[in-house]
Order: sequence, then C-alpha cells, then structure tokens
Amino acid sequence: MKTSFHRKLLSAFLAVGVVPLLICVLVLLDLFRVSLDRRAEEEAAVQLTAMAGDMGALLRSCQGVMDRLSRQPQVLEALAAGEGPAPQAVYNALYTAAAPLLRDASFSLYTSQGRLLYATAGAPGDLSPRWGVLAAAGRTEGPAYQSVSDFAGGEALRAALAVPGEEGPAGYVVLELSDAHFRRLLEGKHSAGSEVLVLDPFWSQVYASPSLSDASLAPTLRARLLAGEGLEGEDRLYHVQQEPVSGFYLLLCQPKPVAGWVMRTLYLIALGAILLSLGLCLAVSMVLSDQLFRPILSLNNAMAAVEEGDLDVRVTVSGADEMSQLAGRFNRMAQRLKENLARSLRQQEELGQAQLRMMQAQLNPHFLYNTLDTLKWLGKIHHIPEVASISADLAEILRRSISAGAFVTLEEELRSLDHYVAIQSIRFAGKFTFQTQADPSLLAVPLPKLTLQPLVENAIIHGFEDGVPGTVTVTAARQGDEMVLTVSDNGCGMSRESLERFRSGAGEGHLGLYNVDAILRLHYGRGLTFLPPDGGRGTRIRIAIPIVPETKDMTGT
Amino acid sequence: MSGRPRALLAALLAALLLSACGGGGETDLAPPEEARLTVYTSHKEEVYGPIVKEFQARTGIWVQVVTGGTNELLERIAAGEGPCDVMFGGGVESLMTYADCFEPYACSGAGAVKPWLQPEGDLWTPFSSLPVVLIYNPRLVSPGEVQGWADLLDTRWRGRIAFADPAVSGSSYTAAVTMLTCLPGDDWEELAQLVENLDGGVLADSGDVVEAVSVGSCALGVTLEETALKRQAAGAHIAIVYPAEGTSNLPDAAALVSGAPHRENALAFLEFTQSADVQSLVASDFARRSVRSDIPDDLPPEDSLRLIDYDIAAAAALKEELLERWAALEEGGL
Repeated sequence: MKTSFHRKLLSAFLAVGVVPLLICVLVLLDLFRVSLDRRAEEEAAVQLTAMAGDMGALLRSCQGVMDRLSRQPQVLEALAAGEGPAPQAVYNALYTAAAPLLRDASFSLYTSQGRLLYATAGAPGDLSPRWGVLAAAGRTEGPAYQSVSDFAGGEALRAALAVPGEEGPAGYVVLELSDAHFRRLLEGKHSAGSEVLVLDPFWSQVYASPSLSDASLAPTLRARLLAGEGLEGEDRLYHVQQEPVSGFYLLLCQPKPVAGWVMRTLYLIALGAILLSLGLCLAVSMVLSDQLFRPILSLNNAMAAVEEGDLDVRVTVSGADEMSQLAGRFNRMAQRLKENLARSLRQQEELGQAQLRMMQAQLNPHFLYNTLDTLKWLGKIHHIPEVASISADLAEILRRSISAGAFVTLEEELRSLDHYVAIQSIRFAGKFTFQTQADPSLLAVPLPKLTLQPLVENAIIHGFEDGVPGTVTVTAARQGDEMVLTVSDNGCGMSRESLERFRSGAGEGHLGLYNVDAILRLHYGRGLTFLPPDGGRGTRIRIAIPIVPETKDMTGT
Repeated sequence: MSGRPRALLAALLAALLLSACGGGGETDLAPPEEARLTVYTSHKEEVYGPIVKEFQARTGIWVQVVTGGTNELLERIAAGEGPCDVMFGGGVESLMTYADCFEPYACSGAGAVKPWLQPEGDLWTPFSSLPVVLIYNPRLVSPGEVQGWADLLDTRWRGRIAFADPAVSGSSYTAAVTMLTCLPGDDWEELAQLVENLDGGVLADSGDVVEAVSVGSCALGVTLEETALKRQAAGAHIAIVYPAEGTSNLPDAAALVSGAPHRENALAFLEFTQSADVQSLVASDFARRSVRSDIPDDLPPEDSLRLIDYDIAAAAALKEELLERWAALEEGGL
C-alpha cells in the first residue's frame, strides 16, 4: 500500500519537477551552442571571404606580371637564346615587371626544356616540361596552378604560364608562392586561435599557418571528405572556401566557440542539477507520503484492532488537518461503541438478576413452610409417621430453599437432596435407589443453591416412567481446580424432543433442568452438559463448578 | 501573456531545427563518384606521391591511396575488403598468386614494353623492373673480389653475407631462385652450401641487407638494384656488383582489380603508369629500370647483365619445397 502510494507520488513529482527541467536544460544548452556556432560560422565566412579575396587579388596581380613578362622583348629574346649576352637587361625587365610584388611572390623564367634561366628569388631549379606545372601550362592558355610538395614538408603553390612560341611553348614564366609568401598574405587576417590551410583542388596541403601543430590534418580532412563524413572535428570547426582564380581551397580551422570540455562541463552541471532535483523529488515525495501515510497506517491498525474486539484502542491526534479530524472521529466512534457495549452488558446482567429473582419467587416461601409444619405435627398427633416424615423433609427442603444465601456448600446441598429423596422414595417406593459418592474434601465447596435437586427430580420422575426400577447416582469429584458433579440414572433416558426443547431454551416441561442450566450460566458462564450414560441407558448430566477460595464472597445477589 | 509562450515555443522549434541542420554543407565539396579512384599501393610515398599527384592534375580524378605491405593489401583485396580499383606495386610473383582477383588489361603503350617483360595474358601492367644484384662494403672488400653468385658459396665469406629470410621477403626468394638458376650443378646442394655459408645469420627483413653491409657487420649482401642505388645515393657505404653468372630482372606491376567500382578511372591510371612521362620519371627519379624500351637510363644496359629467363610460374610452384628445405637446413645448421 505504501510503496504504490509512494511511487504514485514520486512519479507525479518527477513529471512535474524533472521533465520540464530536463527539456529546458537540453534545449537551452543546444540553443546556446547553436547560436555561438552560428556566430562563429558567420565570423569565419567573413574572414574566409576576405582571405580568398586577397589571395585572388594577389594571384590576379601575379597573372598581370606573368602576362607582361611573357610579352617583354628582352624575356622573349632570353628564352630563345638560352642565357643571353646581357643578363642584366633581362633581370632589369624581370624586376621591373615584378616590382610591386617582389615581397609577395617569386617569379622565374624557364626555357622550353625546363631549364631555369632567371629568378627574382629562390627558384626550384630545373623542371621537367613533360611533368608537373610546366606540362600543365603547355596544355592551357592561361597560367596553370599546381601545388608542389617535395615530400619532405616543403610545400608551395606554383603557377606557370607558357610563352607562346612557333612550335609549342618558347619557355615558361613561373610563379611560386611559398610558405613565407602565404604567411605574409594571410597572417593577421583570421582570428587568433584559428588556423588557415591552403589546399590544392585535390586537397593536398600547400600552406598551413605556423600555429597548426597537427601535420596530418590535411590528409585526415581529405580522407573524411572522400569518406563522405562531415568535416566537423572533436573541438574544431572547419570552414572551406574556394579561391576562384587558382581553384585552390582556403580552409579555416576554428576552435569550437564552446569547446568540447566546456560543453561537457555544462552538460555535467545540468546533469547534476537534474540529479539534485531528482533527489529532492525523491525526498519530498518520501516525506509527504510518510506524512500522509503514517496517520492512515495507525488508523488502519486501530480499525483492525476494533475489528478484533479491542475497543480501548485510540489513535493519537496531532494537528488539525483532515487526517487528524478523521482520527478524532474514529476515537469518538470507538468510545461510543465501547459505551454502547457496556450498557447492553449491564442491561443483560440486570435482566438475568430479575429472572433469577423471579425463578426463586416461583418456589413459594413461608406459607407453604408453615403449612407443612402443621402437617408434620398433625401426622405425629395422629400417628401417621409417613406424613410426619414427608412433611418434615418437605419443610426442611422449603426452609433451605427460602434461606437468604444464593450459595450453599456441597454438604448442605447433599443433605437437602437426602430430604428430597426421602420424600420421593415414599412416593415412588421400590422404583429407584439413590446413592451419592462425594469426595469428602469437596464438601465445603460452595455451589448455587438447588443445583442438584432439580436434576435428581428429573431423573426420578422422568427416568423411570416406563416402570423399570433403576438407580440414581450423584457423584462429586475433583478435576484440577474444578469440582465435577454428575447426576446419572439408568432409566429410560431423555427423548430427542425433550433434549431439543431443552437446548432451544423453551423451559417448558423440564423447568428444573432449564433453571439449573440458566443459573449455572449466569454464575459460571457455562451450563450443564449431557454425557453419554454408563451402560448405554439413562441420562448422565455433568456440572463443573470452579473451586474458589472460601474467603471470596460468592453471594452476589 | 499569450505572446510570450508562443515566442518561446518558436525559439525552441528554431533551436531544434538549427541543431538538426548544423553540420551539413561540406559534402558538396566531395568529388562525385565518377571522379574517384581507390589505389592500393605497396610503393613508398616518394614513388606513388608524384605519380598520383600528376594523375590527379591531368585527369581531375581524386585518388584515394591506401598503403600497406604487398601481401597484406593483396589479402585485403582477396577478402573483398573495401572498394579497390587498382593494385599498384608488388612483384609479379605476388600478383600472380592472387591472379583471381585481377582482370586482364592491355595498355595502349604495351607495344613499347620490353619483350621479356610482356605479361602473359595481360594480367598486369608492368611498372618497373628490378634486377637482383650483389653489394659489398668497399671498406671490407676490394673491387673485383666479389664477382658473382659463386662467391656466396665461398667459405671465406662464411657468416659475413647479408641475406634476408626468403620466407619473409619476396625479393630474397627471387634472389635465391636466381642464384640456383644461374649456378650450374645440383640446386639443392647449392642451397645447402648457401645456408651453411650464411651460418645462421639470416636477416629478418630485406631492408636490413643494405644496412648490414653499409655498417660493416656483413661484407657482402644480396638485394635489388633499386634498393642498392637508392641507399647508395643516400650515402650508404656499398658498391654494386652485377653477378657474372647473370641475374633475374623481374618487374613489379599494377593490376586492375576485377569488379573495380571505378573501372574507367582505374584503366586511365594503368595507362598513365605505363605512359612515357611516368616511365621517364621511373628511370630518372626512382632508380628503377623503365619497362619501356624507348626510355633511356644511366644504368648498365640490360644486354650486359646476362639476364636469365626467370620462370615465374615454376618459381612459384617451387616455393613451398624450397622454403621447407631452407627451414630444415637452417635447423640443421644451428
């Protein structure tokens, strides 16, 4: 009962307390991350566009220089002649044409065989006209752009413009943008903490900002691109833009505005908060369900006790809420119930007393006694000893019956029984014999007056109705702390109807039997019992009377 | 009152949409399927790098290179792991072992290929040829002291010969078969003499041979011409001897993987590897011999090498028995 109640409360609390929090936290965190990402993306796009623009502008300027060089008469002459007679003139033309860009790029002149003739700065040395950029330049009109890597870490962008000749190219003007040139072009144009990569159209690295520590970034990104995976890294964002002149790519590698660990920490904190609220929900629901449940439990227990008959149980009332009101109601109800029960018991007892008095009143008192005394004397005067004897016995019985106490000792009861039997043996002479067997130690045990006589009377009058003589026996024996009396006869026994009548308490016919039973019940809580007769014939009745110390007053009238 | 929750709801929806949309966008940079090629190669980057780069620049095809050992890559192809279009590199003996994995293709330039390197059934496209040579340390051995295969059996070099385990190194196995073919007399007898002369000093890897000779822990060794030339150029203390008895000159090759997802591009790549431009590079930059007869090189001409007719199929068939005997001999020698 408690768990289900508790669970209901808990789930209600969770639904109300945790779920909205969870949704809120997740959405807010995501919103936070997405908005920052957006901003970073916009920033990156601006920077990339600017850098691509700058690179495009530089390349266009370089293209202008290459175009001019390819038409310079000195250059054409030198290309045709190999190393000409006046290298200064060629150098002069070269430097003049390249003047505004001398720090931004290096230019060189190659023969159609790929031999290096003149260069503004460090040139790569001889090149094969059948391979690489010179071959590419031979295949196109304008300049051909290629990346150069010597597989030892040196990378560059190289462009070549074929100088048209009579049969194929007369030579080549070669442009090279090396590491230093790119650094000069791109440095300071992206935010600190981000890195720029220049990639050729097939995503080979041409340049990387010096701050980039991961040399394998470009191959990794290329592999990811080819595998169709997103470029987004663990805590880096990558933005790509193509530079239109060369077809090379600029790749901006940005730290995520919210680094992975920050996001993890935020999620951790959110998780902590959710766990906290979870714990709170748990605790509050526990306390609340306890508060609600404890009075219900005590009320439940009290009701169970009342069900078992304990009307003294009370529920402690604390506070003034509905549960306390309920407990108070219950207490009052139990009290009322107890009072009602006591009253009905008292009424029952009073009724019993009245019945007892009425029963005793049925056996008439003094008038009969005095009449019998007169009869005894008349018998003696007229010498009819039987009349005198019967009258004396009857008088004695009457005297005892109207004497004040409700209890007599067993000895007195047996004596009064003797008187009675004496009368009946005159009346039913030869029909029965009577005998008593009493444990002498029991003679002083008190018992209700006239307990045995109605039973013996019953045995004598009804037991031998068929005319067969028999014996009536009264015994008194000790069994534990009880005195057990039996009254038995070997007569014809009680008919079934008589027994039924007796058991239904109708009281007619066997008034004596019924009275004895009622008196015993009143005093001891149980009546007489029928036992199977000895020898299968007659009636045997058992009465059990508790032996109580004589000091106790048993004369409760 | 009613405006605020609605705005909040809209913000939430927007956030969800934004987070759902994020992360896309780069995939359109990826090349289309028809502009891709996957090449498995056992060559070093200095070999495949320039070729792949030039191929990309000329064709616009993105090449995805997967590197590894020859046998490892061949096994992956045989197992059908991942898409692979071309196997680039590996001796033809190895390729022949996995002949089932490849589709024959005759390049347009096949006519220019040296006749003895023409592949049977066009199963592969020869890329370069690699004669087996002897090397010695000129500080330990005077010129002319080592002449040919017979010196490997000479007991005066006992324990001073660098020879890689033929069970591990394909080139070492080729070298062993070449030696047995070149030397007259009973092959198994010679093999026993060789193993005895190595005196338990078999090297684990063919790459160790030049090193062992160069540092002087061995006086002479057996390796491929290309390896020797390259290491010599890099400053190793070795001199090269073309065995007087003759030597083999097996090609390495590229081959079209059957069922290649980018077959057209793969064929273009095979053509390219055998083109005059690439073959010139093979001769000029890679210290290898071109497979084309029209490409000049600075190496001793093949006519002077007394090249033997190395029967690849027979050598492959012999491999198991030879290796078993080798192992038995090594065991006995210990």
